[in-house]
Amino acid sequence: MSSVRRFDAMGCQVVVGGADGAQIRAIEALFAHREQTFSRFLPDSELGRVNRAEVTIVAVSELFAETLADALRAAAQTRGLVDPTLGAALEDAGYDRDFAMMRSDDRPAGGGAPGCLNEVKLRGRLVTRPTGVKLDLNAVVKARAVDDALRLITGAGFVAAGGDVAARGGAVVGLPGGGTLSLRRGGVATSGTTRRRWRRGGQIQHHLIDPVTGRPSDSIWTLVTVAAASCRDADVAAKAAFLLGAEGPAWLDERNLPGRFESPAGVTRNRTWQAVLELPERVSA
Amino acid sequence: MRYLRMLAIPISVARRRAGLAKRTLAFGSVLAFAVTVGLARSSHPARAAASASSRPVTDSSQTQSGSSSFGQADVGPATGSQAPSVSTGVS
Repeated sequence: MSSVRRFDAMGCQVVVGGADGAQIRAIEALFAHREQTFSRFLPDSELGRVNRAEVTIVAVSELFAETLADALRAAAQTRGLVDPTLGAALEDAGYDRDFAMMRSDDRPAGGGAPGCLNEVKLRGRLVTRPTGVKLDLNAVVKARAVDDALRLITGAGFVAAGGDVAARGGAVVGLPGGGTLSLRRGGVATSGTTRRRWRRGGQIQHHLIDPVTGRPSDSIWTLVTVAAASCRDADVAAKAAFLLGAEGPAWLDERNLPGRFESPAGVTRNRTWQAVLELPERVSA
Repeated sequence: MRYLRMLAIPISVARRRAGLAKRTLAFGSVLAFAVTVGLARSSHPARAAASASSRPVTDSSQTQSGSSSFGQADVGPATGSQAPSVSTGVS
């Protein structure tokens, strides 16, 4: 496998293994384009333009429509837990600028902005939603970028960005909560509150929003790691399992997805994780 | 003739009928509003997820296409693997 290359994008370091020079350049361009399209913080991003539009129907690019369709699909897969309409809730909690620029703020957080998933419709490249609704597609944007970047590598390789990694042909993945696993094909994602957290009015805030309250979730977990067929599937499932709290491990088991959960009380691994990742011999799900 | 018959209705009877009509309209409006609010609250997908068992739902208005299931990874213990390694963080 070619040497490992690193670059910064989407507020994290991207690590690529198995790519040649041309593929690396294509992957860097892909991440830059996705960030420019979907950033909540770049004033001229397409997402910003959609969120500021004062009309109920907005025409979007093909990439935007595909990604919003996938975000709505993720919402359906998780019964609305992973909700793309929580941009205002994130701002309400104080996450209104690039995370690297976040500072503790004495002003109290807002009262919350619950999701309005049922009011967003997509027909072709036309998005319909009430004015004032702020979309946040980050639940799928970075993970999809990781999956799409891996497709640009012709042989075995991997792409990792923040808590997301996708691999083909094998990679040993070091997990943020400790431990490793062998990822031969698919994706692994870790969602949690240990990195993106800040204070607002003396209260800890984070980016994993409960769509019912519109406030940062009070889940019992601090980290949830999931492995799935793609990085996108792993990331969506990890976020849903986090938001489900104590029901998260069983929810993943029902979908045959291995999940590792961390809380202040310790580490919990669901039955699928124990069956697939704690046996000495190779097990293909 | 029709107008003549209407004019022949005593004012007290007409007032009674008008009052009944107003009360019926007001009651109907309150009932319709309550039913709408109730349906809107109970149909929010996240609320349904919190209160029901965790089986997946199929909402055709939100599922733009494709399956509601997740695919499985090919993963295993890392013991003895010679594959390249990568450390991951938290999203």
